[in-house]
Amino acid sequence: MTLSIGSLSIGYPGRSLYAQLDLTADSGSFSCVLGRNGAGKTTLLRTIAGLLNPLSGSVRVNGADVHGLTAAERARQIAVVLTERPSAPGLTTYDVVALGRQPYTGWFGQLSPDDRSVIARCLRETGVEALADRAFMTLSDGERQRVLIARALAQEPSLLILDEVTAFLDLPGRVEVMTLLRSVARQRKITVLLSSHDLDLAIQFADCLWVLETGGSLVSGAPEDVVLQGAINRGFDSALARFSLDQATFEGVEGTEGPVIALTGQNPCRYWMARALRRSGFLVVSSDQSNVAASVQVECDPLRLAVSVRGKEAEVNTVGQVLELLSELTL
Amino acid sequence: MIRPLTLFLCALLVAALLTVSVLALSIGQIVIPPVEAVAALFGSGDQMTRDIVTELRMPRLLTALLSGAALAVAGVVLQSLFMNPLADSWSMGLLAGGQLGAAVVIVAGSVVGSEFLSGLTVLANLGSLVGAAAGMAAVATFMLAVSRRVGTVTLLVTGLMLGFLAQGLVSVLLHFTNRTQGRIFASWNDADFAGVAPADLPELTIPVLAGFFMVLLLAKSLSTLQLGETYAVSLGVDLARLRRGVLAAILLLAAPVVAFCGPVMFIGLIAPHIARQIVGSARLSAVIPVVVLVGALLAVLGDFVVHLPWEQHWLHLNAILALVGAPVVIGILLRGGDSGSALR
Repeated sequence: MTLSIGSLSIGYPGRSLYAQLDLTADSGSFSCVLGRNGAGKTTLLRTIAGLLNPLSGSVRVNGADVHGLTAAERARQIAVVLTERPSAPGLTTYDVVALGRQPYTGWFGQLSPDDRSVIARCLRETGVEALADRAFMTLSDGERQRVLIARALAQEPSLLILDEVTAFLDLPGRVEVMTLLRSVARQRKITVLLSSHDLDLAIQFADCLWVLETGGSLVSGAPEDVVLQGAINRGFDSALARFSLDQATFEGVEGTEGPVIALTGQNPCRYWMARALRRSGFLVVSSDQSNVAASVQVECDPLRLAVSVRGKEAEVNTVGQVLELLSELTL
Repeated sequence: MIRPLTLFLCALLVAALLTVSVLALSIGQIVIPPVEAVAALFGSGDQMTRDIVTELRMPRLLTALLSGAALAVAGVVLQSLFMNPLADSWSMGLLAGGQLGAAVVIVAGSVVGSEFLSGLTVLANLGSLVGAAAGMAAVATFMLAVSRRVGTVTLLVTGLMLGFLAQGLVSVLLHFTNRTQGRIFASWNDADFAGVAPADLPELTIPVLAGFFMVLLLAKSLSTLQLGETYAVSLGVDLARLRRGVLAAILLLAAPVVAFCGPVMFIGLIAPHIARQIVGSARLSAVIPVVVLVGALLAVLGDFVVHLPWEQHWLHLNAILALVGAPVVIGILLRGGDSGSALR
């Protein structure tokens, strides 16, 4: 058990955010902290990282109380990648990653051959070897995040904490970072803890979710358990958006009470047709029910869509045409 | 790891430093051939030549070398600490604060008793040193507190204004002091390396060397600040301790310079930028040795130009330094964030 949190209360003097948290995370596991903006994700992560003192309770990494360690001792156990985006003018990628060796170097900070081989390995693992001599400032957002992850890994931590590192990345970039973090956790047998806004990616990649619910409670567990227990709904749903357990994504609240459409056929075409129908305000069911307003049958390759609406039959070959045919139902 | 270009430029720097140093010993109101000037250091030549070289020019040269290097290293350290490419002991108002501190001590001393000044120069020197250090510490503490809330340029303007304020106060002090005391400050507005007697050299040298040594010890922790304060803490740096250490180092480096030479402008601000260009990197371990050379060269060059055998004496050190320094600073400001040594 690398990380164990006992009766931890976090927040600021006079303003407690979460009280009596008990959480653990194994080495080799990848956990995601989820919560809405302002829910306290950063406060929780900074407290665990030892950068912020807890109101009460303890955080232990490999049995040692994080807040009882000196900063230097802590730096060998915990590495962080923060929301702050350093520009490090005048430093190369290599220089930035080399700063991760600070907790291990001597008085004047010279790098030993061992340090250099650790740095080389971290550059390789994160796929930024080719950028080693580039100025850090000139890198793209995605490259910078990889370099900062490499820097954190160069600290050889037992616990790696990342705060919103995917926020500035495009979707493929996010998936790449999540894949990287999961494989780093597995291969290095370290505990990785990440806060994120990407609910669907977190559900897909994490071994464990920690969901900060509105109202000061935290639910943790396997992503699927957390979803089925409704924690995501309690943590995230608002008057206008709701997490759909069927679709593993957020949808607008209105539009769920619309006309019922029976949709049959093969995936993936059926899946995409269903999305279009839901967006247009229909309720999609899979079999013929008594109250259906229309039915659509889908065939892939080539795409053929048979529509039956109010006794009329039609066969079309784009999703857009189906929506047009059905538009009279919602008038 | 070191670029051939960097090695070449450093060799050039050393050669330039040696050349200008020899020229500085040789050329002045009385021109002494370079070979004779160097030989005079080792005791040959006539009495007058020896006196000019060893009693006047050598102390001035050593003062310039040490002061330039000290201000340049202080500049690198302050730029790292403030995470601000325009920080320097002059631009942050520390030198003016030091001047004020020294002036207060000297004036207070003259009120208490004139023997404080005339009788015991060593004590008077130490007094003004301590006064300078106290003034600098006060300004530095204030600027550190301000720096957390304002941007790069605002901090620069605040520092410069604080400097003007301190210099204004020095003038007020001067106004209410007798003529002899006033003469001590008169040269202060224009810095000068010529005011250090051979006997005073240890009081300049020892603190500055101690300051260099402290900076070497602090360089490792300081370099983490290039990623920002939180990353520095996560890398095991005790920020409060680092700030105290840096403050002490800055006082050791710059207080003697301001006490003996006045507010030397621009060297501490531009030398780090020149050094970073030469090194091709902002890695502190690589920049610090080079900035020592750059700072020393700038100071010796400026001093050399001032002491050329001009017909009239209107050229002051700070004027020369401003001619070089101000365009560099304007360049840094205008270039914005596109290079290694630029603004963030």
